[in-house]
This record gives sequence, structure tokens and C-alpha cells, in this order.
Amino acid sequence: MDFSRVSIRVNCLRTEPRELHDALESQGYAVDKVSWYDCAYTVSGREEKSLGRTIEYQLGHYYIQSLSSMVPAMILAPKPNDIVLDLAAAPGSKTTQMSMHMQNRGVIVANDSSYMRLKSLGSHIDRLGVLNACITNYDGRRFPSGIKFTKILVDAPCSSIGSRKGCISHSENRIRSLARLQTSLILRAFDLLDDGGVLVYSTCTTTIDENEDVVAHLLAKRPNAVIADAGSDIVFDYARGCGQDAHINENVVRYELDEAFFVAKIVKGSNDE
Amino acid sequence: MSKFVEFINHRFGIALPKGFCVEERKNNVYILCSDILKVDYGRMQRKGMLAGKLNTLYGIKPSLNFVLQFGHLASKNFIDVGMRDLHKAYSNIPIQTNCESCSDGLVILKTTDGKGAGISLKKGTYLKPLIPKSRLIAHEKRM
Ligand SMILES: C[S@@+](CC[C@H](N)C(=O)[O-])C[C@H]1O[C@@H](n2cnc3c(N)ncnc32)[C@H](O)[C@@H]1O
Repeated sequence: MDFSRVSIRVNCLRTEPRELHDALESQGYAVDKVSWYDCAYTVSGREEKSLGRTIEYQLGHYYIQSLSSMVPAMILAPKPNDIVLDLAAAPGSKTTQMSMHMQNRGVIVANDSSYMRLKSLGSHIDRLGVLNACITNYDGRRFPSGIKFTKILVDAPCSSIGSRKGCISHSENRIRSLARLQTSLILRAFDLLDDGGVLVYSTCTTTIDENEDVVAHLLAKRPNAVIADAGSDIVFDYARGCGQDAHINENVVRYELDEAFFVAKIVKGSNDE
Repeated sequence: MSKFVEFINHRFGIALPKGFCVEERKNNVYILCSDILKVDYGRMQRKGMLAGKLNTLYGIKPSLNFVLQFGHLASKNFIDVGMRDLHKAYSNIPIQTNCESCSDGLVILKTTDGKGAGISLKKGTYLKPLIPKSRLIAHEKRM
């Protein structure tokens, strides 16, 4: 992994990719396109921290986000008329990304159980000009029924093994307790989904307990849960081209663009299917 | 009509685009996509983006984020600024203007290509930037 390059996501609610590209290049950054996503650039040439202090950053023209973390929202692919639940949303990289794909229309319920982290979620929503989101503060395991969502993202709290934050070591007990939490979150999310709705489950960790086992549990408990093709071949071609890891196994996806990620896409069939 | 909507219309000539509405909560005004109106939860923190405050030192004041999103719609009391002056504004350095069509009070800063870029208080030829502290950049000397 090359940490000297930082990736950014252009906020197309505020500016055009080309315009941002030129503005950053004029300040001495080397800015490169990402072949599989028009809204992403990798940036190098100056100190990483300085990217959070440019005028374009303050104007809400971009969000600093790892390439790997851009993939789950691309796979969920929300549209302007969708009603979306982001069950663990803070600090908001994927909420703001989804709002951009929805052209600020439809609805995103951005939820997080951590009251403290809602502050940064709110400030990113404001800085990037997101107008189609509301913020709720529930434990995702007990998120209230009522609205049936057409799309749900569960970007679950995880052990972050393989993330850019650095490898944190966790005891087996900790991993087991995270897996229990993730299993409850994915089950609750699935129950909040409308028939025909789509759920994307993602983590930035590599353990099987927190990834494949969680999805397997959902499939075992809910007969109308169907695993779907994540349809992101282009990302995997790119990863392999850079000599990095990407595996598709029974349709769940592990990849490592700039950090390790796991994604699974699940569709809700009707109960009698 | 909301006081905020009346104000932005009267002061800047900005009419709220179709499909968006505002909600006032205490001193804060939020702007949101009308689709969210139908969503209601007990533990709802807020809907949409903070668009401004009703009672400030300057009376009703739109937020910087509101100006960044909707400033391009302003048809009066706006001033076009180049990148150099915008950098000054984001470094909390006053700028000068010779705009005669703007009255004293809040003015919107627009980039030369017409995008909303900031907010300032105009007094004669003097523009005091009103960029929140958390959004200031370290001032870099530009050639
Ligand atoms: C991986 S982070 C989410 C990152 C976010 N999706 C983004 O892209 O910016 C996981 C989040 O889950 C939240 N979380 C932990 N336990 C939760 C629970 N029981 N219900 C809802 N959210 C929870 C944490 O506060 C944390 O913000």
C-alpha cells in the first residue's frame, strides 16, 4: 500500500471533477484519475495533511476517502427516488457519497449509535451540501420499524484489521463480540428492507467471523435473503492490475485497493419465494 | 412564509428552488429536500443542512454552507471576487470593494464563474469576511 498517495472523492453536488483537478494541480499537487470511478482522484506531491486545508476543501469540493471505502456505496448504487438507510453512518463518507449519487433527492436516513460521532457526521453533511439526509441516533440493532427502505447500507463497526488506521490487534473474545453485534445489525437491517430491496454489508477488516460468517448467518436465518452479484468487476480488474488482492467467492467480495475491505450485496425476495 | 426565506429573497433575490423547504428549530434554520418531510423518528437529531441562524449579531444570517450551495442564485447584494481575494476572505483578512449596487450589510461573495463562495459584511468599501473559524485556511502568500 502506498500511503504517500491520498485519495479524494469529488463532491459533484458542488463542482466538476475536471475543475477540481485543475485547481489542485495549480497548487502543486499531482492529481491522477482513478480508472473505475469518475469521482475519484489520487493525489500526491505535498504533505497529506495539507489536503484538509485547501480552499477547495473548505468550499466542500471534495472528501478525503480511501479508494476501498468508495466501493460499498457504488455497489449499493442508490438512485434519486430511493429511500436509503445508512445504519452506521458516522463520520459520513458513504452518506455524502450516496447523496451525490442520488443528486440530493430521495431520502437518506443517516443513523449512528454514537452521539459523539454524530457531530462529525453533521459537519460533513453541511460542508458537502447534503440536503436529502436526516440524522438519527439509534442503536442499529433496535432501529424502529415503520419505513420500508429500498436500499440499506450496513458499514459495520469492525476490528479494522487491514485498515489505513493501522493493524490493531484484537483478542478472540473481542472479535466474537463484534461478530455478534454485526450479526444483529445485518438481521435488523434486512428486516427493515422493502421486498425487492437491496442491502450492502461492508467492513474494513479481514476476519472470516466478521465477514463471511455474518452473511452466512443472515442467509440461514432469513430464507428470502438472496446473495447477489456485487457487479464490480472493474474494481477487481484494477486491483489485480496493481498486483493487489481481490477475491470473489460465492459472490462476497474481498479486496485491497488502499485498505482491506469486504463487501456483500443481498437482495430481499418476497417471503413466499 | 418563513422569516429566513423572506430574508434571503428580500436581501439577495434568492428564491428557494422547487423541491426544497426550510424548517426552523429554535434559533437554527435547516434546508432540506421536501422528500424528507415525511420521515419522522423519535430520536431524530435533525433534517437537512444547517442553512442559517435567526438571531445573530447581524440579524438573520445564512450559513456559509447555504451560500456555497445556493449563492449562485443571488441576483443582488453579491460581489464577484477572484481567487486572491477569496484566499484573503478565508484567511479572515478584510477585502476592499468598489461595488456600488450593493447596500451595506451582508453580501455574498461569488467566484468569477458565478458560484457562491463566501459571505461578508459590507461597510462602505470595506468587506469583513464572516467565514467561521473552523473553515479558515492558513494564509499563504500567493505570487
Ligand atoms: C466503520 S464505522 C462507519 C463509517 C461510515 N459508514 C463512513 O463511511 O463514514 C462504524 C460506525 O458504527 C457505529 N456503531 C457502532 N455500534 C453501533 C450500533 N449498535 N448501531 C449503530 N451504529 C453503531 C460507530 O459509532 C461507527 O461510527
